Amino acid sequence: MLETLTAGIESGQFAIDQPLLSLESELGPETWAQVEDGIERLSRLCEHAAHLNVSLLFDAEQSYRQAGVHSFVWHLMGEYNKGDFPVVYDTFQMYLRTKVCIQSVLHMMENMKNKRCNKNSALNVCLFC
Amino acid sequence: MFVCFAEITFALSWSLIDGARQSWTQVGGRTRLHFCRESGSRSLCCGRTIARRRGEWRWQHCFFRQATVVNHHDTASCKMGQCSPLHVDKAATDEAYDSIVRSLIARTSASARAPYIVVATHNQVSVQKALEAMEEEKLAPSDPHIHIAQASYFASY
Repeated sequence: MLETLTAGIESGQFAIDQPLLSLESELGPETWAQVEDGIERLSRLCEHAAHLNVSLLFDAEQSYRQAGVHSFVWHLMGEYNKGDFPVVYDTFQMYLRTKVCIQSVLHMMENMKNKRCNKNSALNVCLFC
Repeated sequence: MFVCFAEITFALSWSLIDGARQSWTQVGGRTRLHFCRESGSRSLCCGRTIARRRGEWRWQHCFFRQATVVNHHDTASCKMGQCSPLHVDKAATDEAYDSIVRSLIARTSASARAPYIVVATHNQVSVQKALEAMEEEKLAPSDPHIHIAQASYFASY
């Protein structure tokens, strides 16, 4: 499922800032069921973390899955980074030439009202090298 | 040569935010913590990370997955018929890293709703550049939005 998402993003089938929840028709029922399942599990984790005031730093994955991971994490940021406490962190592997990720960071910094995060949500990042 | 990296897991990332909640030992004026354990089939090794809070260095801890990420990325990419996603050399890697860190720190300074940033690197120079950028942006060392972490055992100095 992450590979499918990543391939779609990297091929231009989906925009990098396209909301995860808007991809149902494009991913097909089987992949979409996995996406929903993933969102549901991760949401439970984030809710519990938020309740305990614990931040979650989502680790990076292999390059052929990473764009899909970003999709999930940015969706969760939109849901849980609304208060003053940073619940969700995303990780960017700076040793990779993933310009799309760097550009997306800058874009999301510039425009918090983007499609993934509502205006009150914060983008929290871990830059790893 | 940069041949091996670790990736931070999210498991104990709270320690980067709230300050170390584990027991520390004082070594050379710095607080350090080393801790290793096995978890299932995967060896988890606790590295030391440093965070600059309230004007002093603190060693905090975080788990790192021991993995040869570089080789893995290269191998996986080759299997998929793609060119290597890695920067051509360490200098290019450092340049990309330092520039984006500086850019994000500037944006943190300028934004009313600043993002939280973890500058996770094993390069001392990158840490120094990040601190210089904070100083230039008139951000206090204790600024809660910026944390600096170092991957243990992979220091380049």
